[in-house]
Amino acid sequence: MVPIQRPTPFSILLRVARQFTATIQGRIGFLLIGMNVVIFVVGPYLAPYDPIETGVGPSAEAPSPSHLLGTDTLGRDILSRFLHGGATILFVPLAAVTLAFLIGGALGMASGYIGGLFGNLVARLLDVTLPIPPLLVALVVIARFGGQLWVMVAIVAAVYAPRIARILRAAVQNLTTMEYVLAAEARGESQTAIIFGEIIPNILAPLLVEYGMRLNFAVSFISSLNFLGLGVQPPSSNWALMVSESTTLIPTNPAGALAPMLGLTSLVVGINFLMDSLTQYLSDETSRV
Amino acid sequence: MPEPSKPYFYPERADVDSPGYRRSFLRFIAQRAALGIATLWVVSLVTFITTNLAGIDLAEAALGVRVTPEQLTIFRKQQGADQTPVKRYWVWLKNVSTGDWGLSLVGRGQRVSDLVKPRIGRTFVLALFALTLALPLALFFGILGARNANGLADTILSAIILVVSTLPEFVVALAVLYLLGVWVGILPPNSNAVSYGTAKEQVEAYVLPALSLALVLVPYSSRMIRASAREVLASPYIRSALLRGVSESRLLARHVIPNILGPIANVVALSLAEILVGDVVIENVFGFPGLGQLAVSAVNTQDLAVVQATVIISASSFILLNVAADAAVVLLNPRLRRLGV
Repeated sequence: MVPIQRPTPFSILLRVARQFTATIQGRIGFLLIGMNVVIFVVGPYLAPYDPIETGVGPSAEAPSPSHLLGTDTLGRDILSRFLHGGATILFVPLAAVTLAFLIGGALGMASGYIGGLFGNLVARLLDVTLPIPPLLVALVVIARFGGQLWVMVAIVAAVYAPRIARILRAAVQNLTTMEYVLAAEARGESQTAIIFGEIIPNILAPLLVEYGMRLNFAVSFISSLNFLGLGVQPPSSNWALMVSESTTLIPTNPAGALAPMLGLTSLVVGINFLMDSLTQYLSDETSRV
Repeated sequence: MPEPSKPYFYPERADVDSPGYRRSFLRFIAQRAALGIATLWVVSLVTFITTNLAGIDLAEAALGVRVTPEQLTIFRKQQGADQTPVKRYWVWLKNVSTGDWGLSLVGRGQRVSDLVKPRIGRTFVLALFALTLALPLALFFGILGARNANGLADTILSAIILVVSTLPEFVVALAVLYLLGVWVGILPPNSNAVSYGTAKEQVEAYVLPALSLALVLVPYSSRMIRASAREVLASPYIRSALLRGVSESRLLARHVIPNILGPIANVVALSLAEILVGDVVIENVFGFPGLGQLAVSAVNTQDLAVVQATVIISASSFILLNVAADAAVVLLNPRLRRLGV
């Protein structure tokens, strides 16, 4: 008799990853994200100049052999800035959303699984905090604490955690009445074993979609704050900051001015395509069952 | 980029026909209103704690470094900063809710309410302008998409909508600025003429920001309209009307539109709410002298009284419009007419 293999989180992830690229849309998304990640990782080593050194070329020059994307108004090499400035676009939101998932996930799962007075209290707390627009929270907090990296991460984590908690709470509440969870309880498995062995594997896929969507919102959100000058400060070469600095360059050097904007756009479109493809696969699979 | 909407209250058919329905929807609206008030209270608490209590000494910030301890004490007494936190919160809440937002720290001695008032009007007009541009487009795309769901037009539209809805607002606004403001050059790329220009210049200055806001809104609202139109089109009364041989135009006018009026009103209110918050970015791209621009410049100069005012105003209107959106869906349900509501 072949022993029944219980799906491990890894095997599920592998299956989901294969499905990501099942559609054309998913493949385009994968490609766009891949391109960006290559720029983030390899870019800094390829950059011909120091990204924040001023006067490496004449001010606001159009593309030339020594400056392939031209220079900005302070005479900095735009290509070098572009190659250096991508990583924070993705990695700061990544850290923030991961933190939001840890907080919101723990809160939501605990309140869904334990229920009772604690569960209700958490639910009311979520009801009251969910409708608050994230941007307004950001304005208040940045006005007081400034726009350092940790403030950004904290804001995004605090604003998204209730949204994630709400979803996980509902998912766990649905699952706790399932027969296989009741069976595990009857077998006398510990709560930790039930949460990690029965509940988490079954909500992993929708969780991943939610993660991707949140990541996308966070990339846009943090970029907007940086664009408004509320986040990272000059001379950083963050793409969103580069976009706001390069607005005067557009008539003379469109390629240099558009590069950071295209990088940012391809990244968010890529994430969105990938997640849309996954959502489609998941809803197809559900309708098959 | 507005986030996908929350699912709104859809009364079940059996629910509508039951005698208790009227009571249940009044209770629903009351619940939403209570929730809105609770949320606003949380916003006020967060705002107050962050900006008033968390260690910034307003007295030192306002009076500068060359100040005697006596002056500081007098100032604190005037501002009520020597009271207990709870008492200060009460006084603050009373002032804020009556429109007394205190003095701006940066514009020396200027009243925040004088600073804010003209901008509320401009931002509101901008929002209405954007809505009038966005709504017909969203209706057209939404109903077109629902009519031939998963057909060619729907697939292409959905793909475009997916891409546009992903873009950060400032990317959309900059694209509009470059294409129409710089490249074609028929409209001013900078909207500061709103506060001093001639009548014609003032109107022109509204166009590009309103267009950008509309572009941000259309994907979101057309998707919502498509979803509710699809739901209506799939319902039994539409099929029976089709089987009775009702003409296409009559079907749309008599059966489809009345049934999606609630969701449309919902979209309108939610969109307006999204605009009032989302225009912070777009106003700054175009230099539009509205509430959002004031908010960002106040954050940059740590003008906390102004930040408080703009945040509380935006949050109240956002929450009010959300409650209105919830109420609209329930109140505009055509099945209610039977109940004489």
